Amino acid sequence: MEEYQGYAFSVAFRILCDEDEARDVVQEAFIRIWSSLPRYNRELKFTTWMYSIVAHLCFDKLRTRKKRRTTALEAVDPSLLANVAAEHNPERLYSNKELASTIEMLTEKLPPKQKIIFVLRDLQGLSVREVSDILRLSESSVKTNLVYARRFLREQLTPFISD
Amino acid sequence: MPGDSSVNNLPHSFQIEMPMECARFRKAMYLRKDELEPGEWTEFQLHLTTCTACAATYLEIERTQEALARLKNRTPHSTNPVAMANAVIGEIERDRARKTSAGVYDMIVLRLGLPSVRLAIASVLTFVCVSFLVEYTSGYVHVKGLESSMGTYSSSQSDMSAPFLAQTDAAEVVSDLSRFAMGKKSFFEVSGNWVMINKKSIEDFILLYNELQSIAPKLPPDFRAAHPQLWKLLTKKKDARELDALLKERTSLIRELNDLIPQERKIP
Repeated sequence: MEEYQGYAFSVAFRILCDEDEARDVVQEAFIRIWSSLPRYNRELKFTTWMYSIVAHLCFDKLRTRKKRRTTALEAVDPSLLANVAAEHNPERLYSNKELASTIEMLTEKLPPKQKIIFVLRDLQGLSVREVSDILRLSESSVKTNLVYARRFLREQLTPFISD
Repeated sequence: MPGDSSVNNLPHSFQIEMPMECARFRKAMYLRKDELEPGEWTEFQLHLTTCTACAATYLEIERTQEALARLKNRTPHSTNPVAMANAVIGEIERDRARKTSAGVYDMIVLRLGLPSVRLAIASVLTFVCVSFLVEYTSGYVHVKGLESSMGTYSSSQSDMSAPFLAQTDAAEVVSDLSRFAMGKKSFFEVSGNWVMINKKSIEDFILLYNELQSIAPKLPPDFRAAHPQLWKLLTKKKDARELDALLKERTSLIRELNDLIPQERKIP
């Protein structure tokens, strides 16, 4: 259980950029998994099903908190983006707080759906097919959302990338 | 710059000037090799060799992707995974306990499903029905006996009609109720002590009582022995006004109904 819990936490954390909220979502997701086990479709990979539950819970959280979070982010240090853009010490361990701030700075203006697709594909490393299964979207829709998200992120990061 | 996403911010006339070939790859530029069809990827790579502007944009995109890949390698760590797992297990246990400890209503429904409980309920219902039938039948027999006595007497007195006829057919109870509800019947017996009655029936009852009182002296001596209660009632000296007053004292409903009787039709 701890192994799956780790995956679930990683996704929830990267989407929500908040450790406490991610922990709540993981807890809620595993309770839902437990209560929905009799209805589990065995043709679907367990991780896909788990990610699906986590992603939908995160989607709900993102929608409800959108306005609440915007003011709190103004204090985030933009140098974090510079660190991502030009990494001098790849071995450095980042705290959860730093990581959350960095991802949040990059993705806070993305619509929830694009943000989740970006996290699942580019940060979690899932295939387009898996992402489409998790979010119940067509592969072309996933790709289109990825294009928009990556274009936006490029605009965010380009100023910090040195020649 | 051809192929650059910033062309979206340019006026429409400038966008039209972007080469058609570059516009085709504007989306493909942001997708990786495994996200494009094999033919699309080859075509795009070929285009990059011929278009320096798109090649420059693509290089920029690649560098962004490399930066994001570094971000991918930074995995968040759960501060206390064991505690989180325990919290989940605890919540699941509580949820399971909630589901197994049914509420009062669930318990009743659950119990009703047991064969022994269903048998007990059926037995109680049977007992109630049998009791009702026994009580009703005994009353029926009593009324029939009374009717028979009265009928025998009235047949011996050829000039006198039967003083009253009792409604004794059990099958007509339901139709009586519906007739009463529709206003086609003056009363309906609710129980041994309560009768639903309309104001007209109160008048009729008082008239009938007076009539029975007048008949009473002509009843044979054996009637008195067979029906002492009825005899006592019929021979008791009580005029209609006193009876009316007595009825008024009984219940507010009867009082109200009696008040509705038109003054000119009141029993003197």
